[in-house]
Amino acid sequence: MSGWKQWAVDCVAALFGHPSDTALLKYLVGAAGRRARSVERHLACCPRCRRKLESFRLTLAQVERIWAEPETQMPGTLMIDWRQIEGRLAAPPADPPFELQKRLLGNAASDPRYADSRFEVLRVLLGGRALLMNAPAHGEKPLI
Amino acid sequence: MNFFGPFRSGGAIPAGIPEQAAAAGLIASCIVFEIVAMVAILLWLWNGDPRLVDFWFRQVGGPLLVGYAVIEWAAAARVLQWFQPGEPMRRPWLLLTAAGATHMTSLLFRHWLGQPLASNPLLLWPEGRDWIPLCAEFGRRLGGTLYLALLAAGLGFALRVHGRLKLLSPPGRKGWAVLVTAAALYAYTLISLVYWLQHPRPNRNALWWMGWLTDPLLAALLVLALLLVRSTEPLSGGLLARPWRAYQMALLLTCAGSFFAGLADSGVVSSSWLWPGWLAWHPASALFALAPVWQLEACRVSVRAFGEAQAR
Repeated sequence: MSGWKQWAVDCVAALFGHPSDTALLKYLVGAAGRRARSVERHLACCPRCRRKLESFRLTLAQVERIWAEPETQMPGTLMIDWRQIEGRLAAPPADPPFELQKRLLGNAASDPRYADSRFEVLRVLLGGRALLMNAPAHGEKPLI
Repeated sequence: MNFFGPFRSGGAIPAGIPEQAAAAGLIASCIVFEIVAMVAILLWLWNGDPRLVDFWFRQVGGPLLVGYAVIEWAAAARVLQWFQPGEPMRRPWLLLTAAGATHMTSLLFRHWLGQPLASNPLLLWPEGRDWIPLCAEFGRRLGGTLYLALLAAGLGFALRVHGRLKLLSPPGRKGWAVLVTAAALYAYTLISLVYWLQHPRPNRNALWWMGWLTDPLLAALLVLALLLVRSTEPLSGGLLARPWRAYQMALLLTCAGSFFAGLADSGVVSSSWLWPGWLAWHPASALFALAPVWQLEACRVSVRAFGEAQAR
């Protein structure tokens, strides 16, 4: 979205009281510029937008983790192609293997101490039969 | 029913019981039972009439315990089918399935055939009434010895597997404190045994020896429960931790219930103060049944996710 269109969308959103999704995202990563203060004021009195910001924060953390690109690793300094980010946010679950690992293994899924043994833990505790169906074909990444 | 069917492996995994519905049913039935039991106990304490308490715990609570044990055995037998011979977790689940079958049998004898219930088939037979106390005693001994031994063996082997996967961290300060307390209780039991052996009693028969085994087995299960807490810590928040957490909670409740039962037997405390112990057995049985149900759910989640990924 070009600059003036974004500005118009933000103006309309401001008229209706809530900042746009893009404005919230920019605020989240510290790229909102002069709008940051008004967004902050709005967030102080709007639980709906605070919830939305929190969900964006979680999604963005996921995006950062999965697409470990240099510009998405340091919030606040990143250069954002908004269409790209919005496309990613709208995409289906970013990393099904990780999500499933998290669902099955809990904390151990994201604990680096168990990084080497995650598949072994699943294979043993879940049974080879459950994981047999999950065998990767032609060098693909296994689901879990 | 093909009793040995669930113990076979290698065949197709049957379409499972709806685990989520089973888990929800177990939890809901237990909550409803406990609420009504609490009301009945309060009424008993208020007006001194024990009929409602007696009806609720004997006529409803007994069959409910049997139902929980049937689910425990059936779910554990289905979990066993997910493990091929030679896999590390097959032996623990085999023992836990056998423990489930023993639990079911013991509760059938103790709370159905061993009680003068309207549904007890022994009452249809003229001499059957004489068998009722015998059935109750058999169920009590089976549940107090063989069931606990199989459960301890199954959980012990499961803990060994957790240890090999480096999930079992050494106990912390609190853990050691509780383990030392359990060891002290265990030592006390041994000392009391030596004391009783020095004083000859006329009724020291095989049943007395079997009854003595219950306390050491419960102490061992308490230690296992504490170690299970530690082994599931890295997995907390995931589906694979839930079965072992359920076993751990069930063991703690069983130990608490046995403690109250011991107080009742010793006669130290008035029976009107022992009602909290009555409320421990149903949640414990429901948790013993929930553990394999939750393990089944974890297995099916992984397979379902694979199917969805294939479809994409």
